[in-house]
Amino acid sequence: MSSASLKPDLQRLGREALCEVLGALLDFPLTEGRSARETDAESPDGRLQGTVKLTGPHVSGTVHLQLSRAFARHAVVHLVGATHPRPPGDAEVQDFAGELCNMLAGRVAAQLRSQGYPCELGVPEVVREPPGLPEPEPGTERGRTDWTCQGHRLALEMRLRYQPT
Amino acid sequence: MIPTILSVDDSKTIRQVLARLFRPFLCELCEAANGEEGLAMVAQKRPDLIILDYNMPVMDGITMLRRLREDAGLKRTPVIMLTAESGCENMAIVARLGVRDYLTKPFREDQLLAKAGRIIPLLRRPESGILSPTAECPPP
Repeated sequence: MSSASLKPDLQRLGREALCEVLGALLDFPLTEGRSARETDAESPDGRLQGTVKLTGPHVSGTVHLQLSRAFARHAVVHLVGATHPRPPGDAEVQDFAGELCNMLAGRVAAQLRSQGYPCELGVPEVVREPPGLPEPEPGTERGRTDWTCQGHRLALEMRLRYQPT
Repeated sequence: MIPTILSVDDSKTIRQVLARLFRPFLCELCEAANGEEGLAMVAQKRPDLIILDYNMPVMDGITMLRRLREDAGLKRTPVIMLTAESGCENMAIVARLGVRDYLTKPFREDQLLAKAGRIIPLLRRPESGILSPTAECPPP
């Protein structure tokens, strides 16, 4: 299990998780990579970052989701429906970001489990205007995938450390 | 008597999605944001179905479920579990605690309605809209 050749492809894991979760939850079209027009769509509102910890006997790490508040607000209105009494506030938008990150981390954890790395999810944490992710510790494996959805940029980054068996 | 559904989830988004989903049906929907609030709401409302999140702060779904099963008067309350992770080992524990069904988030809404409909009668609300699905519920 500790052989590098058996370690999961984190970028592929992230790509599959984003496509599955966003497809099932929102049914919005997704494009891999960054779009030029997304910067205009999101810049007035700022960004959010959700983080969920993964903890297991052979692997531990974090799943980070970066998204614009404008996208989160758009998604909440889509999910909750037109009868929602007012535009979603900060608490609802942050709640959505945490829940979306939780679902993505769940998909990642399920894939890790199926490849011999069982792990449990922590409770999601969300920060506004994240300063950016710190440099990973030595020995951490990273996988990142960037997408554009409804004119907004989404990024999913996984950072995992494998423990020898 | 219309059935009462209790939604226990720390995510307000999910609780709001469930409220939208069950709004067209003759049922009362109540909410709690964690297992501790959920147990208090169960004692107060005696729901016919609990839709329970697995991973929550304060008290998680599995702890709430264990407490529920220890209470002779409430242990038969049907529960559908929602989880972010499919195939989780803890789902075996959950199954032993008598969960009727579970769904992985994001769940398909028609699947949740079908599973709920196998446990409680889900009759469509008359289009007059005279009855409000949350009229008897305290605000969340």
